[in-house]
Amino acid sequence: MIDYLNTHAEQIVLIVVIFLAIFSIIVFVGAIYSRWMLNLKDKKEREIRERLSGLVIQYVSGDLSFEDLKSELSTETDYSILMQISNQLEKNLEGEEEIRLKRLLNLPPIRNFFIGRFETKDPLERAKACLYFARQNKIKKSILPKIMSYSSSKYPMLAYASCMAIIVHGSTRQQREAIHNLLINEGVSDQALNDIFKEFQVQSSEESEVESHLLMRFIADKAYSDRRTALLIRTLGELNFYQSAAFLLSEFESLSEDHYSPVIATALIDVLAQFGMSEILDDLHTIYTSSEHREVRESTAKALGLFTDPVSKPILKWLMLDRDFYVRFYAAKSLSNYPDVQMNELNLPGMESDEYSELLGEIETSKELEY
Amino acid sequence: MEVLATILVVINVLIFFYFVFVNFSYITLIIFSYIQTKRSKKESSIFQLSGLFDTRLYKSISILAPAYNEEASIIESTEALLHLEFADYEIILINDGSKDSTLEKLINHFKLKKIDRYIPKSIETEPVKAVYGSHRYPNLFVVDKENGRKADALNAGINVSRKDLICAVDSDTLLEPTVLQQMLMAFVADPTTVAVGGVVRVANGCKFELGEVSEVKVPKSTIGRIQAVEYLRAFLFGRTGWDYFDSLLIISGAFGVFDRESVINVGGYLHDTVGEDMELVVRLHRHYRDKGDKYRVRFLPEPVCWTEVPESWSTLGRQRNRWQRGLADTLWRHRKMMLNPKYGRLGFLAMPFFLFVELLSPIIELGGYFILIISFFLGVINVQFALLFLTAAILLGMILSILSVLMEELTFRRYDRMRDVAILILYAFLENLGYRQIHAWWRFRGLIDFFKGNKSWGEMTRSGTFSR
Repeated sequence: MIDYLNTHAEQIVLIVVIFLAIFSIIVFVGAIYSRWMLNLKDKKEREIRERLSGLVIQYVSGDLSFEDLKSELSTETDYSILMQISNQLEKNLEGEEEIRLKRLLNLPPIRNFFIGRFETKDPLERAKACLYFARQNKIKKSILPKIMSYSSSKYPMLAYASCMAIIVHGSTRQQREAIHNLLINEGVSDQALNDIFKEFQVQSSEESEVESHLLMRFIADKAYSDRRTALLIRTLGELNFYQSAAFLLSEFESLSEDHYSPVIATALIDVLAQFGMSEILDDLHTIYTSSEHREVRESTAKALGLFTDPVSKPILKWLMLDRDFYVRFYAAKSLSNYPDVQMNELNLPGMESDEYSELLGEIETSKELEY
Repeated sequence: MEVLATILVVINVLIFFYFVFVNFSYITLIIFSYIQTKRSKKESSIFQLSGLFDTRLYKSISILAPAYNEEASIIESTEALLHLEFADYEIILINDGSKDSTLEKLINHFKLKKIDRYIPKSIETEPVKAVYGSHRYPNLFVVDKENGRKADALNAGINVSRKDLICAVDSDTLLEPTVLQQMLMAFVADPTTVAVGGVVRVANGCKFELGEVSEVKVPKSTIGRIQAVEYLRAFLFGRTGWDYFDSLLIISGAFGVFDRESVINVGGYLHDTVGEDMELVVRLHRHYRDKGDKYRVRFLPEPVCWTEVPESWSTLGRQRNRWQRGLADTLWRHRKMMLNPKYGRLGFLAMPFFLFVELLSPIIELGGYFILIISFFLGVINVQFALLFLTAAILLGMILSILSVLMEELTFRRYDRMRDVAILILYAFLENLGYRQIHAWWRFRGLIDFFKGNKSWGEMTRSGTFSR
């Protein structure tokens, strides 16, 4: 081998150098040429965009008919740019204008393009197609089973996108099943689920009755992880549907005194306190102030400050001696909500310490800076 | 003499094969980074996050920006942080015992006042002297502490922060307004994500308005232009390629988002290293692999932060020396991971790559030049061979650099003007003639300094790009 290299080294290296030199020239020229071509393409697209933007705006405001706009579209580039313009406009339109805009998305070349995406094996392409259908006002019902089947995909993004389309177009049963599939898919994050719930809220009635009932049903099923159940509870809380308060109260009361999940208990305490359900006070005073879980005691301290019940005062004072700073902090903050409480006159052990003055300072600061 | 000649030939052959291996590795990385970039762009278009500004159920972020003698750019970079588009975030600037007027400028400009804020000692740090808050900007906090270097400042910031995620940035960097939303995507897409890195681009030469990049241009100086090419290469095909293999070992200290609890669980940033950013990422990998928990460390090629790069050769030399020491230190600390089946691709792919290609390359490159000259003078190889070999090595380096510019063209195309692209390509050629050899020398010196136990940071001077 060494002999061979010794004999032929120069030729080998020369060939390599020639190859690399040619290659580098090709890459150099290719880069410049591609930029030149891209600039030309950009220029052409800019012109089309300018022309189409004006037409689309005329169309959505009712000054141009659908047929007239359609007659202006011919090439693939026209449709691609039309999609981009629609995406940008969609966020800023509502009512009749939004409906008109969405009609554009249903033009056959655009629809066929996305239907074609379903035939690919790439889950991301399928997800994009699902999201396209999620943006439509109406879709053919025959396509729903296919979209529905993706909700149980192991690819979180496809499952998410499919569920989004089902929320918009599916029946109540399909919506329930799609959300269930997402809830049991550990690859789907709480935030992605939260996005689905927000869309669900948009699609439902103003009072959030339908989605609240669905969420209650999921919680009552007790089929999901603690983390997911806590998310369902918090989402229910954000919907502000007051009839759900009684349901959540019964869930709270059914928590086992000894073996409750701290994540679920915290979520229930936070939401019920926000609803002003003073029925939880007894349990807060007796069970949860002495919880072994720091986050539960912290939530309890926060919740007691929302009720400002006179009975809670000695309990909050007791929580101010907790081993965890944030429990002490929120207990003190809650006590400071009582108009008759002077924080410097509580006569608690440790009140002379630097930490206590730091705590009072932080409460004052947090109220001033609203954090 | 014959024995020496044979040894020299063998060394030359070994260097040749090393050279082939290194470049083959880089070309492989380029191919996979292209695939990964396309995939990542598709992924980012999936999640709509329609509820982001309506609900508090999304993860919140604390931005941690350590500052040491940053008076030239601290106000502008802080203003830019205040303009970010994100529902729930706080900015924690950590003044790490600056000797200049960094703190005074902040206090005067943002009308800061001392506040009481409980700081749990989750991670041990140098003493915090005071925390400042602003009535005008309730999400801005400034921590004034004793000097303890960057890692210590970041740890203090972690202690002060109260959000789910922490975003570590250099105070001389400028984040694009939607960057946090883009970074959050990785945590939304995969709940097991513990860290995400984004792209750092060179800000020198760009125009800025109201804390945003208004015009992307290449730097004016030679040294800045070369670094612009280097950054493209490092981020667009280096880290993106490693993300494809799920084996990312570095998230730049200038821009990365981490799960706060995970960072606290592994003990925060390490104090006695100059490569704290890489070390933390490797430690996170090790921690989760040891525990057998599912986790992801990601790199996203779309979120961009702009950073001011050194404009003087001496500052750049010190920076590269430090980076090399940091790399050596991290690989040494975590040597148990090397070729260890427990760490999968990290142990068998990423760690050996960083050892043989990134760490040892200056020794081999400079050694190669040296051996080539010796061989030539001893008559082991002739002048034609020596020159051809050198030309091949340099040409291949040029192609790799140009490919990174081409990759930028095919994906993000942040440089609008054809002139800028031509300049970048030109400098992709030129950096291989002289700069590459000087760079190898700095890194070689970095290795020597590492063995000497040098852990100094070195002074970094800022010219205040963002304030111009």
